[in-house]
Amino acid sequence: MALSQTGIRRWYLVHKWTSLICTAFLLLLCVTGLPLIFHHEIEELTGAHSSIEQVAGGGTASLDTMVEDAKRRAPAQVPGFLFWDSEKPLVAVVTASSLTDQQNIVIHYYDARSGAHVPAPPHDEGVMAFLLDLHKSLLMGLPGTLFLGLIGLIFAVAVVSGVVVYAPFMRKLAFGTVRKDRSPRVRSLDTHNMVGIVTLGWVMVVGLTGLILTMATPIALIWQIDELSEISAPYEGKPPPTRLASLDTAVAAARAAAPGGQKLSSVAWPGTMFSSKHHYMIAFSGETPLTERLIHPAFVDAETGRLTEIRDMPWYVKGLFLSVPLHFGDYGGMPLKIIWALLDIAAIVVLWTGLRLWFGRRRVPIEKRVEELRGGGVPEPAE
Amino acid sequence: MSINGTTKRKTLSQSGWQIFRWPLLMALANTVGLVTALVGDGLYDLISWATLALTLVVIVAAWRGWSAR
Repeated sequence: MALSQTGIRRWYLVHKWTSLICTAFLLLLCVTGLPLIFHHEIEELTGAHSSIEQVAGGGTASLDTMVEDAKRRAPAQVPGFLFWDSEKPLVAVVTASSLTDQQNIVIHYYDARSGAHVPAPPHDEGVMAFLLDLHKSLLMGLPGTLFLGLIGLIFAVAVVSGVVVYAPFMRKLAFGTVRKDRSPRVRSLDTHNMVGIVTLGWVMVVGLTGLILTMATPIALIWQIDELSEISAPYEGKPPPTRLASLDTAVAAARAAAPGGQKLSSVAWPGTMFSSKHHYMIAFSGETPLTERLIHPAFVDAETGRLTEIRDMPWYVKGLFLSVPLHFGDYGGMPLKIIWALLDIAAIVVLWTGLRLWFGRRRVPIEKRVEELRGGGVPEPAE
Repeated sequence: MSINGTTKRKTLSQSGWQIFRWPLLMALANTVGLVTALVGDGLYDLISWATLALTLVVIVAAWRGWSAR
């Protein structure tokens, strides 16, 4: 465990520079992430969900009718996806200007029991949509998302180097020591170290799952190449279907083959990112917080409405799906969300105290700071 | 520049295990808390809340100075 003085100095500089690069972005992510933890509750107050009462048993209204209605409401657009709400009898039909367009989309809500259209405010308006866009892409689309992935990598280095310099610093201090009777600098340093080391596990999980989520598009592309091409191989040379089979028929065919206890989760139209050119992809999910995220895709021939295959997702797609709850903390009820929010604030404290230490740097020469680490954090800076 | 306080603490020098045993335990509690809520509901959620809230309790206790004396 013993590091030489040069070793400590190197790790210290790695921690300083990687932290400096990502602190501003991480502060933005922590602050915008805070309300996003409660996005469901906030949307509940404003969105379509509030106007539908929860009824056990689920609905059986025709999906084809809903899709036709969505097409009428957005004549210049094509349907690409359909989602079943996991808690309420609500179906969302997503139309876009093209099958591969993910920007100009409209979400149409329907009552799953009656098939009636449910009015809802546009999804891309309002504070929550803005915050999510800022949080996931800095309002810059895919390049912004990939850039945040890079920031995530640098953050991982900052965390690891932080743990490395924690060891020499704590050699002569008890775990959790915060010396408040010394200078403000010592207080900031101790707070930074204590809160940082205590929240380490949570921060690593939220950071790494965030990093995985920035790679959602590349992961989907890998899945397309790896698995979708396999499914569409027998259709080699055939043109994509011009008239699509009934969605209700396709869903019934998929349901007949789905394992027991699985519920309908979503549909991807042929030609979208999540299906082949010849299939509806109909996804099923389980009932627990874990299996709810691990969907099974059933591929139904979009021309005949007959099932081609139902399969498991590969490990890398499962990893991507599981990263969503572990990043947002929305999988263990309201108490978990509140704990998540408080841990987020703890992370802000670490960032803030780190920043304060840097702002106060000129008063303390680097030799002194390295000595501070090496000597077990005991020497006090000159005030 | 004086280095106050070094003399009285010089004797105490902790090993890597002594430094990291509590952080490791905290990280373990964090992991248990993150996983249990994912696996199931009810009791699983309770375990998750307790282990993750422990992190917050430790922060508050440490900041209020449990090791001040």
